[in-house]
Amino acid sequence: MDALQTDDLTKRFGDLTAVEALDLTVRDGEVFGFLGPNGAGKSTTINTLLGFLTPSSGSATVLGHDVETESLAVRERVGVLPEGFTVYDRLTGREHVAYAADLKSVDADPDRLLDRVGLEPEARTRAAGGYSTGMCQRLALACALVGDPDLLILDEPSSGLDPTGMGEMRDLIRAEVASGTTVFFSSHILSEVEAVCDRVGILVDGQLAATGSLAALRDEVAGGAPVSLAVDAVPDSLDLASIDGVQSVELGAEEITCEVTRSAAKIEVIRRVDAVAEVRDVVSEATSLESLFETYTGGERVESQASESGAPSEPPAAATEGGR
Amino acid sequence: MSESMSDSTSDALADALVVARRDFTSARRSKLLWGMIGIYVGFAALLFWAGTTVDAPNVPDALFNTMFLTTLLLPLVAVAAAYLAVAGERESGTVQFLLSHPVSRGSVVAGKFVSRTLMVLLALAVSFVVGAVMAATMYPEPTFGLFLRYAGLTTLLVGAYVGTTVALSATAATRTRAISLGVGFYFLTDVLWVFGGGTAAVRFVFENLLAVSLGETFYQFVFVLSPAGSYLNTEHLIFDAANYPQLPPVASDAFYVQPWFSIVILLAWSLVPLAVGYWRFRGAQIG
Repeated sequence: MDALQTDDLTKRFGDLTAVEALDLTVRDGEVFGFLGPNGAGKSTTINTLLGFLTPSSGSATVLGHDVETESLAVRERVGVLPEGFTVYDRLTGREHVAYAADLKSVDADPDRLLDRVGLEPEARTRAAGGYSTGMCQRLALACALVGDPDLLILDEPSSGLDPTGMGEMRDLIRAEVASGTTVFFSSHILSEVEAVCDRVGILVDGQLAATGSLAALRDEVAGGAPVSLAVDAVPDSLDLASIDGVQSVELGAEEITCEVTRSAAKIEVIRRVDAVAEVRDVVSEATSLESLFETYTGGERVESQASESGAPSEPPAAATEGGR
Repeated sequence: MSESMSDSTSDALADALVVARRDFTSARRSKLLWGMIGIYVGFAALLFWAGTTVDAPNVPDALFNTMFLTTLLLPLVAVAAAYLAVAGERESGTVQFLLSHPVSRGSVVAGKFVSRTLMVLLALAVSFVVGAVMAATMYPEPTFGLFLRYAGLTTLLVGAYVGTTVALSATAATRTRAISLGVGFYFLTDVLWVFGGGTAAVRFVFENLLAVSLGETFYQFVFVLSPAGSYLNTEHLIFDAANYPQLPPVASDAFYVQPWFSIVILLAWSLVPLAVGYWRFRGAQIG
């Protein structure tokens, strides 16, 4: 059984189409990364799955239950970290977890869950109104874990977390997956998706631009990450293209730019140039995955518009619906 | 789903109580609310003390004298206690946390109604305990039975204003809208209708502008349509109008102006707006 499936799911707000004809499948037991820039429609999709919003057309099931007609059954077995989670200012951290347990009609040990997410014991009996964003996010995760859900839906889980917190979040997700939980999480940051996800879907302007494993997406997209070196003078006969993983080489008067498809190739490029010239500066731009992300969210959109319609001027992004 | 109808109904009730319990915990930590309650209790105690300074102090007179204060002030406490019940959660975003759990929106509205009603009844209980202690120590005859009947009728007033305000809160997406609706409702049905000559205005429109003569029963019905007016009308059940001429008289034998029917009107104000508010909230797009 698929943990989550949307079928032609569309959500409009007046004239604005926030999510358009979304066909998404999340398999049982996998970690699915729902990627997209801010405003792409990720939260709208999640809010529709949870019954906060009614679909304009299309349908969706979560754990086999229809999101419109069986919303309570959906939420029975799902743990949710809502977008921009806000706390009840006058309830303590421990009370939040106990509340979640009561609402799910399960027994839960708040302290055990708060231990797992790393909320300090002295903070747990304090009113959550005074928590930092990071503490709120940890608390939200503890609440989401109540009742050992079959599916975790995490909307931008790492927002407000410092790098340590993000690492802990990843470990926690991995541990949940190891125990059989399916995880669906949204993010606009590629690196955190890359670290834990089996598959990703990239949402752009409410439409699914790409979906698949990261390896498959990487293969699909040509072009790597650029590394640029500023030198006193560009030497002859570098033959950088012979390095494994270097895709293209561009030589300027005082600058060498290579596109590489693997990170290690960057170092080799730098070493080879350094051996024969004085390197004044090195600029290494996006990793290959980030350029992949950009291809879908930026570059390719313009390209496909041009090839589909051949329109002389680029219409505004919000007005590009109806192509299907 | 295999669960029977009665199972899901009892689940919904259990969920409502879970919501009510945490909401009560959260609401009772609000300092503003305690301030409002303190003002009401303080005024009631002051009036009750003033009742001991007359020639022949007696509890019925003292209770009667708190009635107008209660009619004016307690609905305001109820509005203050309830206007953020649902709209506050929508504005702050906690409603997303709440509704991501297996709880229906109906249970949320019902739970909020229960907790906010209890909150105001707590204020009422405090003031009645203070009053009872004063009655026992400062008055020749305490007459506790009258206290209880008075408290019962006042509970209906609280239910009507909390119910309507929670309902208005459920239709509002923002705090600002919720407070305008709640205060507007209080001002219209209480301050204007009962104390500000709202019925006189209606009378003026019909008799002077439209030149229609409708009779006293009609105008009294207009008066008791407001929950505050109905509350005053129910006082006939415990106070004899012969002794208390300040009570608006019962105009005729028509059932809809009788004190007992005002109890029905108060109960309707507690529940009918709540049903409409739930219906509006059920279809609300959140997020």
